[in-house]
Amino acid sequence: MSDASPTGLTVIDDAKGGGRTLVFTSRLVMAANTTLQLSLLFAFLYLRANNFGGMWHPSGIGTPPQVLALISLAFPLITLFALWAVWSAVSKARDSSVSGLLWLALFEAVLTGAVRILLMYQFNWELDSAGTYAAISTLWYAVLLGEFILVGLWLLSLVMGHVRRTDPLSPAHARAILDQWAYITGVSIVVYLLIQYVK
Amino acid sequence: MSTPPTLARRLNEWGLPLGIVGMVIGFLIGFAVGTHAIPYSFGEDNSLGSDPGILLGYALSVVGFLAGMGFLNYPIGRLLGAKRPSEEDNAYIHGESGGLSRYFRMTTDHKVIGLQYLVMILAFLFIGGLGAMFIRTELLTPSPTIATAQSYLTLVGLHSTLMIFMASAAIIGPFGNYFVPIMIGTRNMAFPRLEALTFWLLPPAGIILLSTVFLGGFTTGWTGYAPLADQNVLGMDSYLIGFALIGISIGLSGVNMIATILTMRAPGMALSRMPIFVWSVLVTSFLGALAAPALIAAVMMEVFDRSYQTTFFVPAGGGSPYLWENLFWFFGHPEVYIFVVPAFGLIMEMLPVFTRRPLWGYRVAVGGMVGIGLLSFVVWQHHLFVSGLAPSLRPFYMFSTELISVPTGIIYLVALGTLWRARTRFTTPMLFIFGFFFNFLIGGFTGVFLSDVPSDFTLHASYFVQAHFHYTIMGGEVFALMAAIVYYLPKMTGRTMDIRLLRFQFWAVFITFNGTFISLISVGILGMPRRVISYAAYLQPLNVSATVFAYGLGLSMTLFLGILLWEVFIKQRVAAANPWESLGVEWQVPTPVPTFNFDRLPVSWSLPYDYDTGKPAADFGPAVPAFSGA
Amino acid sequence: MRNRATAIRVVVIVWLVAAVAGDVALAFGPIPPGQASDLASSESLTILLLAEIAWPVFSAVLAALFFTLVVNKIAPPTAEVSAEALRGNTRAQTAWIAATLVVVLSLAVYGTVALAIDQPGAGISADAAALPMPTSTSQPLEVQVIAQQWWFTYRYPSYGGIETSQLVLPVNQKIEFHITSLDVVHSFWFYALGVKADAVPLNDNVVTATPTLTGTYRIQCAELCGLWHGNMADNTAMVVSSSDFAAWMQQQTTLDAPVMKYLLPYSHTYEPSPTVYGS
Repeated sequence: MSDASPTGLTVIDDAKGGGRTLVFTSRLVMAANTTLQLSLLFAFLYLRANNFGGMWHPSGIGTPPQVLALISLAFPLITLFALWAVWSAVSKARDSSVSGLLWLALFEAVLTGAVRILLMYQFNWELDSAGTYAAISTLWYAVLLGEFILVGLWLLSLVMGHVRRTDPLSPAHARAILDQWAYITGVSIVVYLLIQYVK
Repeated sequence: MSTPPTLARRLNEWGLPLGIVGMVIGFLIGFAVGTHAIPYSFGEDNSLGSDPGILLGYALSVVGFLAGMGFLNYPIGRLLGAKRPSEEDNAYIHGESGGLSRYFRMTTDHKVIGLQYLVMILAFLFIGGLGAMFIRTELLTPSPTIATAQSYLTLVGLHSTLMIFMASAAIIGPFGNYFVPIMIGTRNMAFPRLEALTFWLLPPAGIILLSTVFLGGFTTGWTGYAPLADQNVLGMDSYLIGFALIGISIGLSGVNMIATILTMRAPGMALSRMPIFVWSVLVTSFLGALAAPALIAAVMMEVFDRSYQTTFFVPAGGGSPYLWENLFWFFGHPEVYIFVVPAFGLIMEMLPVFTRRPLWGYRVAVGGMVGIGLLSFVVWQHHLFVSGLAPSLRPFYMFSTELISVPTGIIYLVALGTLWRARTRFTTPMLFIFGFFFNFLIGGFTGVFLSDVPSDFTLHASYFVQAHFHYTIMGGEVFALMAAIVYYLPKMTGRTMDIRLLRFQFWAVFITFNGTFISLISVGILGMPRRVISYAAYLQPLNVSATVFAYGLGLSMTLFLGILLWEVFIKQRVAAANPWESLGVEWQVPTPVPTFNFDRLPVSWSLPYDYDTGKPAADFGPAVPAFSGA
Repeated sequence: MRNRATAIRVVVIVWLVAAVAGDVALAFGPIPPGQASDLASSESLTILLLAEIAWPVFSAVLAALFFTLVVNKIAPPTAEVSAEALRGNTRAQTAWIAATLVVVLSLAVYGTVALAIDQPGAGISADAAALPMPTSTSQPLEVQVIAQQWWFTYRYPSYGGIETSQLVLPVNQKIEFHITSLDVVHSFWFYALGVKADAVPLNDNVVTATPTLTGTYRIQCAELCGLWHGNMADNTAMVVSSSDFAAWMQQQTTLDAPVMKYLLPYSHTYEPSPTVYGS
């Protein structure tokens, strides 16, 4: 009877056999993230529906500029496409394009971060009299920025590991990060619609 | 084949001192940056600093602590694309060198983490318990005597918050971590470094919470209701960050447990053959992973309110206290089931051992726990029956809350079925199990009174609620904790505990516990509200009775700790390999448990409850392997 | 075997006696919150009913536990049980679950009906104007409870909106409490009337009750509201006859007359400005 563990995880960070675990966990994290997003959504809709003290969207508070908001979506979408292409290449073992696509994804991720920082400052952080629309929007942008940064750092580690050949990208990793980035991009689209249109 | 230790490994050796240094440095940097570089709108009287300063200080102190402990080594290595850690480094971090120092640094062995959790849980329990003794002493008289209003409320908050920290990991932390991988036949958790992280978030959380006394304390109790929370002085930030850390720990640990249980079971370990304890951990982990983010969201909003004077919870500025109440209790209710479901699982795991009978209704028990888990997400508004919120929804929440007593009752059904014709062995753990069933019965029934809206009008926010949750959490989970410590000590440490002294201690704690909280049930029915420093004079005799019993309770709990420490560190009597004659696989592996749990994986598995046939949970196959090197 | 059967009978009889005795004792004992208002009486009835159902079930489970732990020792079962029966019995499990479901459903239905009949708390009200002075006792008298850190005050809109620090209510008159707060969340708890409602700033929480017994009662705050939450209580709330109430009201109006011009006009919620004194 072989001594090996069924998933191949004999060493702590041997991810070869642990691919299934990685993808599964990535989806679990999305589930947990969903509760976080739903809490923020609840806050948005509840405060908007009640408009306590008339301070949901007082006069003088505008919506963020449409162009900036659209650019803030464009960059993660490009990254998403690049990550999808990476996964496609890795699962078909077409290694040649992987590095280039990874660098593209990383570059776009950095741009995403930069634009989203700009977006977060739309209400100038003078929030004491700006009402609750400004407050929840700033908070939600901050949360999304944090999530993009976290997944972006994960992407950086994958890129560095692959490019320096210390940890070539596996299909499981590619799939896991694709799922995560897709989820956060999807959430930011919903948030865009809420903040720009539902107001 | 040993290479000279790398710098990273050397630093890991000094993890804890470096961590403390990192904590201090991180705090100073964060505090300086936050106070001077982050602007904030008009604020409170802050001679000590500003909210962003304290908050950033705390946040960076945690980062500094983790960096000092060595948690950042692996991520930074990955970010630089450095070579993966060597075999020696991994073995070192896994604690294969053995020894006591493993427990004071970042170790990825789930068994070490389990024992670390046990120590931390007991620390929270006893420090929180001291707070309780202070509260009860103050309540000897109807008007303030030894406490000021601020110190009293801060101690109320500290007692309750520390106990919440304790209860959220009391069973899962020590016993989930130690035994789940063994019970499902795997070598370690899915993400061992992550599991070590979930433990090492607890000491900073405790320290940060306790540091509130230097910042003026906080007056909201553990529920942190806004807008009182907005009003509070800097000490409130300690509560917010401390609780957030616990929420992160619960969430991460939940994710890790689910991943381990669902993707790493040994061949042949089907879900229908999993011990009931593992099922309870699975259900609890879903609760933790899904509920903790709501707490994080609420805490983030409160942090904004305090730092940037946003108005999430201030009606004049567009917010609402109901927002906090909803988000907090959406987390808070699954949280209390996180406390109690693993206790159910562990009790049901131990019952067959002492009744020498199979668990009666294994499937129904699993169904019951899953039912509790699902329902726990749709009952939270029963904390808000008198708040004025959505009165037309009250019948729905009354119904869902009363409904949750059905799956909870199933646990009693299974227990009674197992006990029905059994010749029970009255071992010490069995005594605590009996205490659990008695106490939780009272706790559960008092809950029914609270779930009914008309009766809740009288009982809400009174000492009746206090007694209800102490009966379920302390009478339930803490009794299960004590049973589990006595039961598993021979396995986890190889030591045994003095039976006679423990039996005396059980009766002491059982009687004093019931004396205290029956007094408090009465006081609540007679109309005493919670968290008050003064009360109506006619309630004094009952309060005195509660305090006297509470002193006894404190002494009995201290006695338990004393026995435990004395046996483990001083007397050190070696226990038999399987003193309770359990069929569980955790008792089949040798003591001390091998580094990777199994020298050989079992060839087949069955439920560990076959006491009628005596078949152990795991069949390791022929004693001699058929071929060498197989 | 005979021993065991006897033991079972003994336990069942002891349980029956205890259950009946307990239920009878409950029916005669004082049940909180008492009978001082229609709402309180209804709540008492609910608590009594819950207790009457809970006690027999509670004692049955305890008796069963006792039976399994003690009787199995002194009169152990001797019959062989099949491996299957040792692991479960679908009929028993279904019966138990069904029984608990039925009890729970009935309790929920009863609670809903009780709520519907009493309509004790309409919750947050729309921003309607104050009710007119009641012409009969079944028309509600509006009394506003204003909670702040750390005391309660009361306003009577039907009497010119005067504000008092003592709550006095006429007996047998339906009272509509409008509870609000000026700062943080408090909770108005009038134990004897069975009234408990959170006082939330900028919210108007409405509860109705009709006091039926005169006397002096205690009011306390039931939601942690800061440093002196524990002291936010007073023992001077009174329910008096309508003539006494009219006399008291006359006295209060005279006392209040000089300061009436400084009082804000009556409204269901107030928004005190943190910077304007006396707002």
